[in-house]
Amino acid sequence: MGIESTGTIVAIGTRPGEAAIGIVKLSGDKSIFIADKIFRSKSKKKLSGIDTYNMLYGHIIDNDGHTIDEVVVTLMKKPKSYTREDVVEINCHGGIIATTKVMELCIESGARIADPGEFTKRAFLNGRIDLSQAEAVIDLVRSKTEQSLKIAAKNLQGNVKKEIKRLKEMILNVLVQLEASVDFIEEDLEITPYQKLTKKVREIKAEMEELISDEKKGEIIKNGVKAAIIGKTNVGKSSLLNLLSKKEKAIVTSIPGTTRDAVEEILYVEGIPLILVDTAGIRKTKSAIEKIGVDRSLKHINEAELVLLVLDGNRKFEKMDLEIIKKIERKKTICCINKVDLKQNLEMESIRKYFNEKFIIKISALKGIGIRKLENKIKVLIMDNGDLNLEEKIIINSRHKNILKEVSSLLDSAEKAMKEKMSEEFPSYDLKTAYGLLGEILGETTRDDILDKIFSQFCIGK
Amino acid sequence: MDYDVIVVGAGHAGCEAALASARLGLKTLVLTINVDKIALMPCNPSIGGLGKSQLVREIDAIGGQMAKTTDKTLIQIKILNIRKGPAVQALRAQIDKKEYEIEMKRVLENTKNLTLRQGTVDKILVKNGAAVGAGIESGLLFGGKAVIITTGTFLRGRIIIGEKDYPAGRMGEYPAINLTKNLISLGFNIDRFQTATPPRVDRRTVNFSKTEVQYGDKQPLSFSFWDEEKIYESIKCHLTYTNEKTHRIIAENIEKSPIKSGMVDTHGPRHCPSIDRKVINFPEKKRHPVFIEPEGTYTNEMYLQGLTTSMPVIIQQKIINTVEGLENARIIRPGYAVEYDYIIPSQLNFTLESKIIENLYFAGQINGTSGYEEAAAQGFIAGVNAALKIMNEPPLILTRDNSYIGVLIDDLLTKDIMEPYRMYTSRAEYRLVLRSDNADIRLSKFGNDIGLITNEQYRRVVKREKEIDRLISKLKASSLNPDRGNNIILEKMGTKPIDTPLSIYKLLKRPEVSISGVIDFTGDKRNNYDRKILKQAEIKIKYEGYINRQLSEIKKLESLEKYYLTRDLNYFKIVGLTYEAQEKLTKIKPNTLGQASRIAGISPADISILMLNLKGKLKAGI
Amino acid sequence: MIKDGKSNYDVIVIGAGHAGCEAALASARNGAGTLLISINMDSIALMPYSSAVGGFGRGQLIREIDVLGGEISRNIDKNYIHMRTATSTENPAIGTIEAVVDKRRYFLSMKEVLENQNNLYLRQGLVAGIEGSRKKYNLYTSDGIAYCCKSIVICTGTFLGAKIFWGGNVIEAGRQGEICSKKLLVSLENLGFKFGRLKNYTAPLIDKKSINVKVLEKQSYDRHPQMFSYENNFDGRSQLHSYITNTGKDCTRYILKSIKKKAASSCQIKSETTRDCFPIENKVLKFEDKKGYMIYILPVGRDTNEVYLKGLETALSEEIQVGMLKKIKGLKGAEITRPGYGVEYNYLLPFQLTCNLESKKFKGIFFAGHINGTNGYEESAAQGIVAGLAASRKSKNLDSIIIRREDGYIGVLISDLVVKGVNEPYSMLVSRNEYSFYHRHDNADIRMLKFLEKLGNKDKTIKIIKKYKKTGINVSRET
Repeated sequence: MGIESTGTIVAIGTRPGEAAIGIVKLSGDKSIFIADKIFRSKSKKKLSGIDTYNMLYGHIIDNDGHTIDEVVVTLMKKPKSYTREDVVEINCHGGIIATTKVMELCIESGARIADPGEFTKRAFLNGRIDLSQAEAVIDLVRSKTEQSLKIAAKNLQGNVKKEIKRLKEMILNVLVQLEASVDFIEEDLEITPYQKLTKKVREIKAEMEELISDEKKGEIIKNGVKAAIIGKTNVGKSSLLNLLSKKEKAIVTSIPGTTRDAVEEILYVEGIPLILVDTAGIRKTKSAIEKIGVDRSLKHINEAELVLLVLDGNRKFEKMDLEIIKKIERKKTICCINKVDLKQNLEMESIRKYFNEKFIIKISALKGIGIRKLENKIKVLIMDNGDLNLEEKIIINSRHKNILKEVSSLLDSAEKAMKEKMSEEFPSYDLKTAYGLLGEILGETTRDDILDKIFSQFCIGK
Repeated sequence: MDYDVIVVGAGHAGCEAALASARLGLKTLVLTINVDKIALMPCNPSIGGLGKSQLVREIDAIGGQMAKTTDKTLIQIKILNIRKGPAVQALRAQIDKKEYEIEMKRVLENTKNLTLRQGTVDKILVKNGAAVGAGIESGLLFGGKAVIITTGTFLRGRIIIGEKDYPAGRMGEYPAINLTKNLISLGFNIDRFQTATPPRVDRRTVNFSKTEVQYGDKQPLSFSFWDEEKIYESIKCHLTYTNEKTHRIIAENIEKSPIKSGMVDTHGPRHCPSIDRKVINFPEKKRHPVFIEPEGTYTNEMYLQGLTTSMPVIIQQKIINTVEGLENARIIRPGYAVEYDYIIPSQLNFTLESKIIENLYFAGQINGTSGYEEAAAQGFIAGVNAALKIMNEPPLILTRDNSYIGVLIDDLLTKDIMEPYRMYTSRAEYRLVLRSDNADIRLSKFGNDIGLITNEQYRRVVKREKEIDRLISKLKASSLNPDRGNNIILEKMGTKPIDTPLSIYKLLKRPEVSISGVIDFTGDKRNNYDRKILKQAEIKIKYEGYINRQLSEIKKLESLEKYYLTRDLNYFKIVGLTYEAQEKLTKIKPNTLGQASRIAGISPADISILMLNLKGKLKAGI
Repeated sequence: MIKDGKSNYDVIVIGAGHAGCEAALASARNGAGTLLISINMDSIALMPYSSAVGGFGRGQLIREIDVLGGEISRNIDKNYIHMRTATSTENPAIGTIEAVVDKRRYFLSMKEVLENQNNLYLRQGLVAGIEGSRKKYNLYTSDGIAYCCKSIVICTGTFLGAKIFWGGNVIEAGRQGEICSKKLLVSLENLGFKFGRLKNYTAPLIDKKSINVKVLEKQSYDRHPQMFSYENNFDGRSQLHSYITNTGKDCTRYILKSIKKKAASSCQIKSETTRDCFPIENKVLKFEDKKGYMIYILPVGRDTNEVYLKGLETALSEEIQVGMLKKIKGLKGAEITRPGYGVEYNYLLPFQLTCNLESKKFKGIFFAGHINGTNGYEESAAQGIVAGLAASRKSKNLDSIIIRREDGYIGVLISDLVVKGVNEPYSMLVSRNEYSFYHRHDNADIRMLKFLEKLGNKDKTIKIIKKYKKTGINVSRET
């Protein structure tokens, strides 16, 4: 979240009410140029050719020619626009996934992801909103920032954050050697030789590439809410999955790089993808293979934002059920009592001890009873709950992706400089910028780490 | 007797402040405890070094004095990091201490509008919130429109050797006692630092045969841009090392060292710790370097760089005698530590004027810095700005993106200073642009605007800059066709031959190619270009990519630097700022939005909110 | 106190003023292992008062010191910036040389000589105490080091228990800006030495640029001056003028008026035992009718604009000093760079010393310089060389040379001190010397010949004899 207020910015804005229609907004002096680069209008007209307050219908094409989405583009020329700069709005129909793709195309053509509330800030700074509205703008900026910070932190699952911290530390160690050999030339310091440092930078670069590609595998960019269906074996998990996924007419779009989990289905609730994961039944088992299955379910549970606990209404409440409930204590859970069409032997009192009445639903996966009620309950959980706010989550993901890409190109430049035996201060400049960017992802404001480390690591003493 | 500017103290900061304000036409008075102790160098006999030499050259580019006096009294000069890039190269000169003092006193005495006067200042005269003069111990009062305090380590100075201590600003010189009380009564928060100096030994008792000799450079050099470079015949310095015996003695007597015995509990500079601390913190290090440097040509006293200690003298003698070459060296001056008061620099603003009392400036070690060069830079800025304010001209504000002086002042004003602050190149994020070789091109315009650099001097700089650009465009225009003759020359140069015509500009980008090698291709003779022009052109071409990246970063910063924050801003009334931000901003009272963004704990969101909130009131640039 | 391994010396000299330097050099040059301790290595052979040396009486002292192998004459010849012969019509025999010296260069070259003198070692430190008797003394510094030696020469100048004062302002200091020595005084008093209090004064210095030179009488230097030391002659260097002015009536009246006003308000430092005729304020009070006093405006260095107002020594407050300058011809616009001030210090009552300045009670402890109550660099240097020679010979159990009144000004100085005692800072004047006709500037070498021989300085003795044989005067050794 840089603090400069220059350049052309892009962001996703959902029109209130219709979640399905995502809007990509561009503002700044290069917005028309960028839009023209990625938009082919049906009437072959260019945005630069039409007057303000006009619309064009057409398609968004990515650099290798694929059609991403069918859109309507509106143009508002400065100064008569929301931000008093040239504004282009791209109305997408393809749901959040397509909208995100369009935004990333804008970034690749030179736009910069907007800071939280930056559109409104520019509107105010350019004098379109007067001072009295300042408070409203400020609350917006503050809340959006806090929200995005919260999501950014949560979004970075444990291992990704640890990974970035480790890479940051490795970069710091190389920096310390470079800076010590520059500023403390007169000391008798044992500096690691240049080639060894070059090798080290190459290693960091490789690990960075890996991290970015993981991300492509869906680790970070998984644009959707993860829900896990769990329960003992043959309580009807798979049939519930098929029921929920078959009902909705899913628009299948190829998402480059998202590998599908074998037992995973995508369900669209109000245009927001719900990635349902059916987990292997959890039960005490000696066999190694099944053990792996159970472990993977536990992994899904802790990664999921929503849990559907399926209980077999027909069987008594067993100790095993209690164990599973213990595992999902902290998770948002809907308890589905399945096979309601059969004789109910499940003692409801013990269930009510653990779940609020509102979140217990009686269904029959086979007969399709109570499914509507279940879907509404899921929608409620996804839409209203703040930290599942998807739009922010997506923006955060793309911002991180872009930063990681920039860091890796900086590592490239450093490695090249060191291979060419350029003096230490040039690779050090690249590495310092990279170090700062990683700090930004982790939400730290930079301090004098380098000098502090040098003094603790080397014996300085003139 | 009334003056325009009164400077309290005649150390490196005091001299620069007084000379700057006097040369700008202001009636300037310098008050010092002892007129024989001007521009003393109580610690190492050298000027320059990484980061420090950039400061000295920048002062020189705008019209300061230190570089000129250095050129006159240096006895050895060399370039550090000669094999590294230009951004981290620095000059370092060994100085004849007494000649330096005599020369600086001569300059002060022969500067128009400047009066040098002996007197111990014990109070600052203040009338409704502004300094109006200074009073000395004997009761005499001097009126002044501005007062600059540059008292170095003399405020409540205390010398410590082993378990003994006594009040002194420097060894044998009594300290200024009641000025601190006066400053506290005016509302300044004061803290204490300590720094130490190594013992000096008698040259005749040193066995130089066992030490490595270090010579100065033989090429023409000069610190000041305005002196022409010449080759100095240089005296020798010597390098030797401590060893296990040394470390054992220190370890055995560590309880007696003031840092352990509690005699001293204030922070010392991490960059030049005592040998006691080095042995404690790095027990595994087998040896520490010791440079034996002469204090001047007239004396036998040798300065032991690296053996700073304030152990009892008897142990200092033992420590020294374990070092190779110093087996029977004799101490002339024992090492000692000095503890002194300094004011928290965040109470100052960009012109080093205090935010608490108007027209009262602080510069030098009194602000918590260490080093002659850091003191001189602050003194110069305080002197210039005191003068400009009196002449009600716009202030000279240097910032991080145009000078090391800017970095120094910006760090002092925003960072919490935990130890005596010293300049390093790694503190300057734009060091690729802020090189010591282009300080004149960067800054002499400022000097010319305020009148310290003559139009003739400035024209020379502008002419040189134009020549550099002309040479670069010539190199871009002329290209090398791939005939056999040229390729042979290329191979001799150790670079691969070419098969298609290549501009010399691109050829020069190859690391192994140097400008003097390719200049002939353009048909010009190498020597009708002055050496500096060739060097500057080569730097601009070779490192163009990196330099442009830093220039674009600087442009981004500028947008925030032009928003000035007034002093009477009540941050607690600004809606939307976090409590921590409100507290920090009130404590530090930054001058610009850019400066606010560099305070630890202030997030980008806070900056946006500040910008929004104050849009009406913000003065975009005075 | 811990014993420092290399800590025994034959002679230890405390204080590196003009007395201390001569004593240390004399002792080291006569083969004694000597240590010189000074509070501050940057304050050696300083001249806190005027930069003028020599003149009637003092010129002869310098000549005699020169013959005995002292350093003051050679150092003046190296660093003078104004040299002229001082002749007196009434008594041509007392003609001698007067010089003005570059203070900073004088200090630097003296330090260079000290540092390069073999078996002489320098050390920065504050001496806190002395113990022991007869041949074995221990000496302790404030930073916890003990030294032992056979004899000690104490040349602490005006630093013992010193206070500096001007107007109502009093600071505990030996000189402006320099800490004084208290512990040593206590230690000496415990040994039974008796001390008195004396005051000495220095004049303000002003900026040469602020003087109206046109109205002043110029005191010019000799084109080809004669040098102090027998071995040196003129090297053709450029010289600086000094100037003369007079306080004149209205300045003296101004001082009288201010003293009367001042005396009513602040208490002057009353020290009963001293009679000081020195500062301008006392002169003016004593001889109210005198029209004015001569003031010599002397340059203090080639590289500096400061000039010393010899004759205006004062401890009046700074306002009065500033005021009175305005009343003096040529100094209307004078800018003071350093105010004049007085220093009050303990001095040893000299009756406790023998004729080679050795303490009667403690054999091996010598005193020389201002501490004996004398005034003037030359007087200190003379005592320094006598004490230094005596101390080094004592440590080698050799009998010491005794310079009697009839031998030269040095003899007169010492016998005046030791026999008559002192009640004000003693300056050497021709009128104090009944042999002034015989103790001439030019024959100092003949008069000191016999001591040279005693000191075993063969080649110098032969040189002097040969010099005079050529001119037909045979100089027999025993006179």
